[in-house]
Amino acid sequence: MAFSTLAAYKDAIEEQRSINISIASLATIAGRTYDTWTTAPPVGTAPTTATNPTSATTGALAPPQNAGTGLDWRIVSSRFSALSPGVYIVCDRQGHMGGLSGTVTTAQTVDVSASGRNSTGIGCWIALTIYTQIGTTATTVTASYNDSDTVSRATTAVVLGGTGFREAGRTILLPFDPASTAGGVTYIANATVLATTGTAGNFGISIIQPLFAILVPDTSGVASAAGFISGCSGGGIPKIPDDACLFVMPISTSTNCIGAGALLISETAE
Amino acid sequence: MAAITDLSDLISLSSGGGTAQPQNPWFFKQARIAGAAATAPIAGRPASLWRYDGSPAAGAVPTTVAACTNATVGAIQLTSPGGGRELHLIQAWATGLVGGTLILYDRLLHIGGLSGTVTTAQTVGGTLTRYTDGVGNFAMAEIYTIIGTTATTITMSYTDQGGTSGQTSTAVVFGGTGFREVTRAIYLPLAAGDTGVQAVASTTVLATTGTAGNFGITVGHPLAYIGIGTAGAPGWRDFVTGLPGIPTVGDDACLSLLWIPVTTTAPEILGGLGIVEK
Repeated sequence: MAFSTLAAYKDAIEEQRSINISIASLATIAGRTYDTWTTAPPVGTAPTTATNPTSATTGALAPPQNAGTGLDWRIVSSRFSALSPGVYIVCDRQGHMGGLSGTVTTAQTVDVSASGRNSTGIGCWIALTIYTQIGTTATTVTASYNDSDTVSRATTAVVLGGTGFREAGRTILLPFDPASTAGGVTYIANATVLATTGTAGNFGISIIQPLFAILVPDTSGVASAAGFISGCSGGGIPKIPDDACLFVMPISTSTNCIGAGALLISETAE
Repeated sequence: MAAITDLSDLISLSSGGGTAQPQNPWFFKQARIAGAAATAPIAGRPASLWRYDGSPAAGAVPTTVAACTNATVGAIQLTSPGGGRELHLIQAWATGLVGGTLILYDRLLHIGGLSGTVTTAQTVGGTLTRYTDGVGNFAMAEIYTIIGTTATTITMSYTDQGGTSGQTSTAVVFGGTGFREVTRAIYLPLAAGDTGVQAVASTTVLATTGTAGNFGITVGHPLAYIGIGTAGAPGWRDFVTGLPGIPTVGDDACLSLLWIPVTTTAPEILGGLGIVEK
């Protein structure tokens, strides 16, 4: 259930396993969120119909083996070196789909549900990922979703299309409905682009749950040794849900996101 | 109530060994209010992110005075502790589209619907439910709808940390460029010798700003200051290894964000907290 003492934590770290992370090259805009699903290795494919990916899905960062019976993997530390400082957020991709168009201005079906790994949807976000570049005309997009109380809600509008909001790999987080007293998301019904962006491209909608943040404050090549005690991390000592589909959502300080490192994980009793 | 005894205790609590699971709420804010582009902030001057869209969802413009809690829409998601336990903040980090300082605070009480043209005392009132001794609490005027172009000053009548009512804050500029824009948060300085606020009775605008607009008074308690150097750079406070130690988070705290920007670009913010319960 936990690392009961500092000694137990140290023992676990000595037995740690690693999940390697690599971001080969991703054109970015400083300070904005991206999705490495189709670019990191391992390289996933742009989804089509709605699915709930798992650790077995190509593109997922997976532990070297399943946690033993009665055990959980927890992220205890990380090492990461990047071309530029930034924040590298390890998320569980709960559900995703693609094939939406930047020129269709009626509601486009999403039909993505949170996975059984977090059926309450608490702590989950709605992420719009651009898989193929959309148009140069800036408009807005909204989504219809169910919150963690399973009440139907609508996100507020955010910019879609135009520079910074159209490039492949860009992911845009959709704000929750101010009428909702519950955070989180359990289901996304559809998404609506207010006006055409000028190019169909391909974008999709995902339910993601952020788990762990690797903070890289230093300049090119200086590794961040992030951990609960050493700092440079966010998210505490989070459990990796069984079958989690882990991927990295980077926020870089530069226009070229490149990095490599590892999540260091240890088993502990459930 | 029990203190965190040592690093072993903290590691156990943070990895699920406590009576309650650790909480790691994440947040993001888009530079938008009610689906439209947010008003540009003023470089170097505080702005409230209460009305910004994101996760948590945007908070509403308050009307009558209200004590805010973790059930108030706009609060960062937080589960209240049970069994007489307390919440302890052990991590706070964030990054953003632009550089600045993010202030995590507990929004204790707020009121809206005040006017930039009324020059008599406007009632605030209400009762704090956390940090009731007032020590360390701050008060600010928060602008929800733009007020007028004429610069004047504003004060408040308040009860200080010692329970002395009728204290008057030092006058600060209110209205005019840089002191009138939506989201602008104008701190109200306490009288000499005071260190906090137990209650705000009223606020007074010295002369009309020329436009009523809509502003309010908010009482808060700061918890963490997170510096973000530049776009995409991480800023963090690690209370495990850093001073001033591990702050206690009030039961049912309304965790909220203020922003002091280095530029006039409306911020997009993403970050998270680490909280344990004991």
